[in-house]
Amino acid sequence: MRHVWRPLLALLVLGGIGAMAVSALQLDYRLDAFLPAPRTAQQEIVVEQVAGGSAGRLILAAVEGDDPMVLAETSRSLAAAWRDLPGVVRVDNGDWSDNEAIVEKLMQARFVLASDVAGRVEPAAVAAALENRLADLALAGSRVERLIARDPLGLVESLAADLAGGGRARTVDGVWFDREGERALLLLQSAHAPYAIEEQARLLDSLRARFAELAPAGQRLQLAGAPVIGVASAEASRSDALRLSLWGSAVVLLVLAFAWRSASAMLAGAVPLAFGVVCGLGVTVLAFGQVHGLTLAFGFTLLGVALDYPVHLFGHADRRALSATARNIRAPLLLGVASTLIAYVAIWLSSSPGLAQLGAFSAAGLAGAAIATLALPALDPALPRRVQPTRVTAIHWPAVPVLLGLAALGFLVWQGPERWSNDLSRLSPIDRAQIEADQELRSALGGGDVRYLIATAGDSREAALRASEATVRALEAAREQDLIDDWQAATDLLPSESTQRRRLSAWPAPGEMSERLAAAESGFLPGAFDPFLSDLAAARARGPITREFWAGTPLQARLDSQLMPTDGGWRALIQPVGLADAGRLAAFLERSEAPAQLVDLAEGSRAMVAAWRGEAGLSLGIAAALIVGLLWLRLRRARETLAVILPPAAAVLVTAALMSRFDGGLTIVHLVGLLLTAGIGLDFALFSRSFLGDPPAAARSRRAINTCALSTGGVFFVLGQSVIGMLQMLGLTVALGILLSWLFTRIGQPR
Amino acid sequence: MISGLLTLILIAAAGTTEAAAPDDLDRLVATLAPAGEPAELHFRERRESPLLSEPLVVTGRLWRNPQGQLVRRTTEPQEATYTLTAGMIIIERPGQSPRNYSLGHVPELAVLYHGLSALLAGNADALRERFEHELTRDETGWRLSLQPRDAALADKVESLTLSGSDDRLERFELTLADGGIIETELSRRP
Repeated sequence: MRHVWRPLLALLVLGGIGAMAVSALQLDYRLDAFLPAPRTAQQEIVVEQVAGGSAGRLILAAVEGDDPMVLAETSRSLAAAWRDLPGVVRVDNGDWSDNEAIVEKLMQARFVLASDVAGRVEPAAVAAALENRLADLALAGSRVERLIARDPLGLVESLAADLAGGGRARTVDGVWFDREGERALLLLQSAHAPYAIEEQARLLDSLRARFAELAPAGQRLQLAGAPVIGVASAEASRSDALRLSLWGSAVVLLVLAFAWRSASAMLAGAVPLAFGVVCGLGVTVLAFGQVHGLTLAFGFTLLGVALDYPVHLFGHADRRALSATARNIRAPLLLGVASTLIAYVAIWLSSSPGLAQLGAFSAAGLAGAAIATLALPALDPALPRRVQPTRVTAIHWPAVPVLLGLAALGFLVWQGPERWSNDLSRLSPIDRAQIEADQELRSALGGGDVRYLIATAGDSREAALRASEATVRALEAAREQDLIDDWQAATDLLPSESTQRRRLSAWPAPGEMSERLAAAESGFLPGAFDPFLSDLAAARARGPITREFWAGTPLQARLDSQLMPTDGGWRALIQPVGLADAGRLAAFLERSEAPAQLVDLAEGSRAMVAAWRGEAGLSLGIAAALIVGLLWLRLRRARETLAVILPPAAAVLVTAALMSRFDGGLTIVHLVGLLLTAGIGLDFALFSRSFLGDPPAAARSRRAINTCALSTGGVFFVLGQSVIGMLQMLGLTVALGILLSWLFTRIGQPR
Repeated sequence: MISGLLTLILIAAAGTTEAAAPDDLDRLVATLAPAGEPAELHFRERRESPLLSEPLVVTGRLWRNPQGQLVRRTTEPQEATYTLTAGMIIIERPGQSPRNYSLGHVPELAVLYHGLSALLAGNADALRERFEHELTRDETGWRLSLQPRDAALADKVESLTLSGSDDRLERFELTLADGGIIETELSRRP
């Protein structure tokens, strides 16, 4: 019993520090932390969009299960109820008629937003507009009189229709519906950041609660969008992580209990891991200021290597004091740690902030765990109680790993680019089924094509807006050729100042406008349109509107998502709608010398992932060369060096080939897993090789390696059962890699 | 006991008025309902507005299509088609894609739809279900006044009064809650 206290105390202290550190940490949950750092303006747009600038706050809602007219009524009352909720920036259902604030802003802005002013004030156009107003009057009577007096030309109605969906979304009773006319659709913007999961969860709950309060029985609400996905996947991953960590711990406990049969040894065995976590957290916080949530999750798994260190220590214990054993295994242990450190430092240098943190965390954690392992004798743990093995029958078939490794290499080369997966969404920690549900609702809303964006840039806001207007002119020509159906531009809400001034000066003075209205002889009383004429006079006096004009209205958010400052100026975005052939439109824009760039988010992200993987691959290649150099320096003989390198190298190649074939191509996560495999495999080979000349020590070494393979391999196999794609990829890669490393170390080393 | 007797008398009185009217309404509805091919009525509607120098005149045709919808096609002030169904109005104007709205937004048309479609379909029960009615006759003709039972509609429309002579519906008048009056003259020929 006396052996238990010190390890227990050490563990409690470290656990306390670790728990305190984690709870005091500023965890950063941004999804883009593991994305590569953008290099060009185009890549910047890709990362912004993938990380979910404004799209990350959008919630899509569908109400179904009733007569369309009744659903439309629900949509309206729901929009009104939701608008009152805290944490809601805007709610859109296509119907702005009861949104006084927007209607009033549009009334003010219509004189600078409406295009073709000259055409609208021609006698024939004025007469046609007034005929429409008479028809409105015939239909709705006194209810529309005020609106007609203020807007006889119907400018607000057409602006609202354009802004609310470009006339392409199907509406029933003025609110958005899906194409089948079965589901009323609403769009809502959350005030919370996409990664503020708890706030988003509360918001979603209150949205559902309001719906339950006011919707007639039988109607159903469906929510989608990044916040919904985020909340759902956070819940899924929380329960998933809990389940997996319980199973994983059970596996380790079971294996170690069988191997050591000593509570004291098991407690002491956890000390290096705990110390490693504390070191890793400390260094990451010092180097980066904050820790990404995913870094923590992955960092813990990368420290899985550290689980092996005490296993090697206890495995090699013989009748001498434990400190003697520690001295005995110091050389292979430190060599293994140094090699793995090289690789982790290489990751630390990655341009992706998440990966860099991961490298820092793992490197520091690993070094700490190794030092703690060598210092374990100070805690005076009991030694494992098992009969010492004395003999080994070695198998030396180096041809097996050599041939399998070469075959795997050949397969990878033959596969060509197929071996890589460039799908950025695979790297997202989000459940894929959720993403598909989201896309379905998004395309039902008609805003479906979010894959492309047309970007223009300028030194100033005005320059960016002018470039955007020039591009819109080119798009109008493109529409004639059926290259594009429609678009939503920043300039729909904020035309450039020069355009605004031109439009304002095209409006007749109020006196002349009054004459033109009278000339139509439509039966309206003189003075009927005085409210309109005074609005016109006010607009002419006010001059152009600015970006701040929309502040406080739901349209501000939309403008902000389409017009943003960049490092060297401003960027304006155009969202294309109904893009038939992106390649042809891009060529058309180039031919017409439009100052714009068609950004393919999917292609852009693919190219970025490829470039990023190239960069990571290069630094890992350099790391591998350094590791070989280090080993050679230390082992001094080429044959020994080769013997140590062969098992992990072959294991990595075969694992890579198998994962690439059966897991849909390799991603950066697979690379991280392979790196971890290489570190563990190298330890196996080093330990096995170091004690080859001493049969009892070799037997103990083999047993320690078996224990490592079972416990660590088991943990990663359990991790491979995760529903979160990233964890699943990592777990399976490492479990397979450990299995192969163990096999090749056992049978594949030369004599 | 007194109150009980009073109740009985009241019920009996109510019974007699209820019993007298339906016969007449049924007869009227039966004579108005077109036999054979669906009838088409030409209408000329007058509507006042403070914005206008003289009342707005709307002309066009009105009929009940095979799906039971009431179609109102105007020629003045603009060519447009309004299709009315139980809950919805579909508006088709030249140069615009069709739009649909809840009939709840245009209560006067909702009242017109319920009243006219029941009348054109010869369905007196539907009329009784939707409206309180009062039917009077004199030597010049008949006059049927309908008040919507639906509270939301009654809030906006006070009454729809139809009148004519013999088996002809010649005129109707919508009296709005705000005091506005829409007069419509109907004829079988333009």
